[in-house]
Amino acid sequence: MNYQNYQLSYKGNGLDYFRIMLVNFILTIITFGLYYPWAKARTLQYMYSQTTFQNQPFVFTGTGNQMFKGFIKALGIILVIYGFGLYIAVSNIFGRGGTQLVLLALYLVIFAIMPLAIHGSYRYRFAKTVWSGIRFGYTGDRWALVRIFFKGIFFTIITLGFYLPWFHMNLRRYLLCNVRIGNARFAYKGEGAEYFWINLKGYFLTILTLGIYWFWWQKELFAYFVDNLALTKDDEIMLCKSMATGGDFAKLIIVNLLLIIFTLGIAIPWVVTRTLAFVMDHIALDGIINFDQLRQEQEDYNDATGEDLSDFFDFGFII
Amino acid sequence: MNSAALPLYYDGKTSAGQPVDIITHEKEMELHFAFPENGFHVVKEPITINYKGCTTAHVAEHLYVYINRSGAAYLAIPFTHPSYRTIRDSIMHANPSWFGKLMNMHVGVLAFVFVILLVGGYFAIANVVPWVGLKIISPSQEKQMGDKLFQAFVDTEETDSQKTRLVNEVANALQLSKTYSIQVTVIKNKEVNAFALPGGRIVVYTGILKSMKSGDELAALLSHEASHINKRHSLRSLLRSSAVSIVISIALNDASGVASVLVQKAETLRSLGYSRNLEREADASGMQLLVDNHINPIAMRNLMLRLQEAYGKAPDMIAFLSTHPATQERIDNAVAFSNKYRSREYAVNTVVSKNWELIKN
Repeated sequence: MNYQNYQLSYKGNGLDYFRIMLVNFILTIITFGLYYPWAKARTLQYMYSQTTFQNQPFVFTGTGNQMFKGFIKALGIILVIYGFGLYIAVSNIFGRGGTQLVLLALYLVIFAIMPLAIHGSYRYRFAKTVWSGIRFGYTGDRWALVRIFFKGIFFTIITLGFYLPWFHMNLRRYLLCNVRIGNARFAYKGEGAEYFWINLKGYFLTILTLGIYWFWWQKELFAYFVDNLALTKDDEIMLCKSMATGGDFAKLIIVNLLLIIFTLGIAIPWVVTRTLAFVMDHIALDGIINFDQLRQEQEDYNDATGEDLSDFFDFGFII
Repeated sequence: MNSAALPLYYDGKTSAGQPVDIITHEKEMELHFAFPENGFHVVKEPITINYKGCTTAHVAEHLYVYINRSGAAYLAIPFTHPSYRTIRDSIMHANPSWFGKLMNMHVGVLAFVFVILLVGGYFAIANVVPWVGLKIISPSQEKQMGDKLFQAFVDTEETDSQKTRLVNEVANALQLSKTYSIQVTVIKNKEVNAFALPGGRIVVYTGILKSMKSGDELAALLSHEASHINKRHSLRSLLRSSAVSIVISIALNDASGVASVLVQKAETLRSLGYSRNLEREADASGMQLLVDNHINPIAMRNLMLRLQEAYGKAPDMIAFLSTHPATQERIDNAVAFSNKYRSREYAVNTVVSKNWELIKN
């Protein structure tokens, strides 16, 4: 296979997204919020469909029905945990010390739910991501993720937060290295130590330059994400490279802020569109993978409980 | 034939698209393959695709038709293809949805509907929740609530037991409430302030007593506060503000920070206007109570004047006025109200005047 450049781009426009947001808002209001899972599916379907790789759009094949079922399950899980905690606290059946122990155990359960929710979210989201007819997939093990999480939280606490960059990179590496598209797999090689220095440098230079360096800090974080990412298939590889400069980031973020302030937030769909286009336009991809020969290898997965639990905890889609 | 303009069919098994010819019918379309595959000229059987169940997306000059949601087999039809419109419209009609219908409306209409729903929802919640709440919560539950609030408040304050007794005698000598038993507590505090709690409790600061010049003014203050209690104002505004703040926080969950700050400021202004309306209502009904108790309602105007004088001396001590702005308007209203009852005979209430002499000292 010959060496070549690949194209990634976002073709959406703000007006279309604005219209989708309005319709979703209207339907969500008149159904007293029950439409939310379908609204989310519509939004994801739109955004995926406007993202193209080699001029082929991505497809989000998840449905509102699946996410509604997941939403009900997630709600059940949350209610059981909080209801149990509330019951223990109010009834005091275990005495004062016993109650505190049970509540501590509940906190641990909630901590454990976070990686489980991320795992579920990744499985569902990638199983429902399709490009050129080929499904993505997430092949990570949920208990391995729980272990990374607990180790990360433990060391973050005893190092008073200094371990956080290592925790962050261990998590990202594990998640991304388990993402597949058909028979091709992603690889990420970011390291905690390097990530720590980028952040330390960014923090102090931002203060020293009265905030101006912040945009360059964002550029470095973006580059650290993109440059360490690769896709491999058998002995073929595609490499990613960030083309964004600090100046690009300054322009993007300042214009976004001005748009939001002067339109009182109405411009949000345009801001999201610009930002997605910016991200896609500033990733250069090259390598020797022949995408015409991808094989369908990842299985489908319909349980959106993790996806909805992540929504409840409001951690979005972590990478 | 130019194959670039041909529709491409992706079967969901391999990632390369296969060029096809499309023949459209009323409820389905047929895909015909007649092109080389893997170097051989294979004529594959045509595929029939039902419009029902298909979904579409417009991406970069192509209509994408997703045939099978789980298998993700799809068709990419260029806008230049002669059947493009037919296929797009057929799929839309075969799969009716509210989302699809709304998406075909003008964006201005959608924005208008959205704003109407927001404003309507806001007013429905701001009015319906307090209305239902007032129906559900009985005066005795209201009293329990007021007592709890009072306990929490009075723990950190010093009460004046002698003045409390005297002011309560004044309150009992007047007919202030049919539903609630009015209970006054006087707090030792220089601040010029008084307020009512739900269920019948009134708190009066010694500061406001000092600024008064007659027993009738005290009666006017008590009538005003008792009217807040009779009309269940604090419960009403409590229900309203909590309902509105819950809805705002849900609605703005993912909106930008700017919008949420603006909405909250707007809501603060609106609730200030709301509380002013409640004050007007309490002024009017308080003066009616004075008339019913044979006390000249002009006492309300006098009370307002005293508060204004005290405000001139130490503005930061007058909490009563700062939450009740537009004093001149209230004075004018009091004068207008009194003029209506000018011809009435007002007797001196002996308890009010006797106790006032004691309170004053």
